[in-house]
Amino acid sequence: MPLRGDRVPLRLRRVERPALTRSSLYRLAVPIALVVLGAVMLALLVLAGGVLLGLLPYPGR
Amino acid sequence: MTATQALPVASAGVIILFALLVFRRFAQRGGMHLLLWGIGLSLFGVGSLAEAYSALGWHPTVFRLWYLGGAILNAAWLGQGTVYLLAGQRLPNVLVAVLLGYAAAAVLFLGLERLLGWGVGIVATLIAFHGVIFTWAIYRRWARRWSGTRLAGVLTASLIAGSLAAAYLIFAVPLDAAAFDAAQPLSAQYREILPAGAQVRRLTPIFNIYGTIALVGGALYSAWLLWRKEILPNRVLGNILIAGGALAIAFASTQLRFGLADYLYLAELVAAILMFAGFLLATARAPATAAAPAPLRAESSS
Repeated sequence: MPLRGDRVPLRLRRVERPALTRSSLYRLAVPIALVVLGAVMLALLVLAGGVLLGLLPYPGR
Repeated sequence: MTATQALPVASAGVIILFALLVFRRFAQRGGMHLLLWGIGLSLFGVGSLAEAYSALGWHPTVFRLWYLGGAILNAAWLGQGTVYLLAGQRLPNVLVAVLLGYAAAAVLFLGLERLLGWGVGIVATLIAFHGVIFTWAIYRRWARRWSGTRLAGVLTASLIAGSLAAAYLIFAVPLDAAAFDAAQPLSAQYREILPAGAQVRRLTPIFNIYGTIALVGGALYSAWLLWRKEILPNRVLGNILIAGGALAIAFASTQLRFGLADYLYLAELVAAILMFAGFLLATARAPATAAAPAPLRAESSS
């Protein structure tokens, strides 16, 4: 066990991890949420880009 | 009280409280991102207050403030706050590369379409595909080497200039007051009130595309970084809520523009609540106790 003053390689350091980050629900749900929200964002950007470039019909114009 | 009257009042209440908290945090800690978020939230609040006023009667300035603050500017200013927050993570560099990459792809393939008479589907696919390649090339060759902080300043100056131009255009355009009906939400009748083909309408997608990439993209990127590092789960969840809130209003706006459905006022309230909850969660202090094993820290010998 390293004592105060000893140098410890980075890979051996144990960093405090909040309990929530180790739960399986958190590990699974966060990437799914990120992918879903990212896909919605891209779809909306494609539609808005299509309107901006005049490629899509825009009833509001 | 009808939904047309109640929803904007509720949205305005949430957003004003949210903006006051953000400005108070800015006064205590400073930070350009907090100032810009506060401005973006104030513009959101102006839009909601204008909706609430318009449920009672017509005033041309109120309508113009609704269109300027609620429809054009608020997402872009909120996103600009995120640009500053993530300047160290090169978000401004990525944004500039995306804008330049897709602008180059659009100019190239829209020009070729006029010469060769391609169909809309082919041109859209070519722009979407080559936009990614051009963005990547511009980022690798130039944009990643620029200073993120300076680039954020350039983007802010551009946003200020664009906002002034939008304000001039909306206050210069003639409105058709006869088309106004206080019983209907503004989102259901703004097309008839604004003249067809008004220049200011063409600006709206530009600001909203920029705001969506910066605000939603920035929040998702932050959440992903923190999730991967397995730290600050409150910020991960807070950023997801912020992204979800911003997308709720973007989704409702898109449906409205395509004439599919109009639930913009409800989406604004949902967005206000989700973003406020996300901000509170993201800025909450981490609990002092942790279930993880006791930390073993290496102390510097020097």
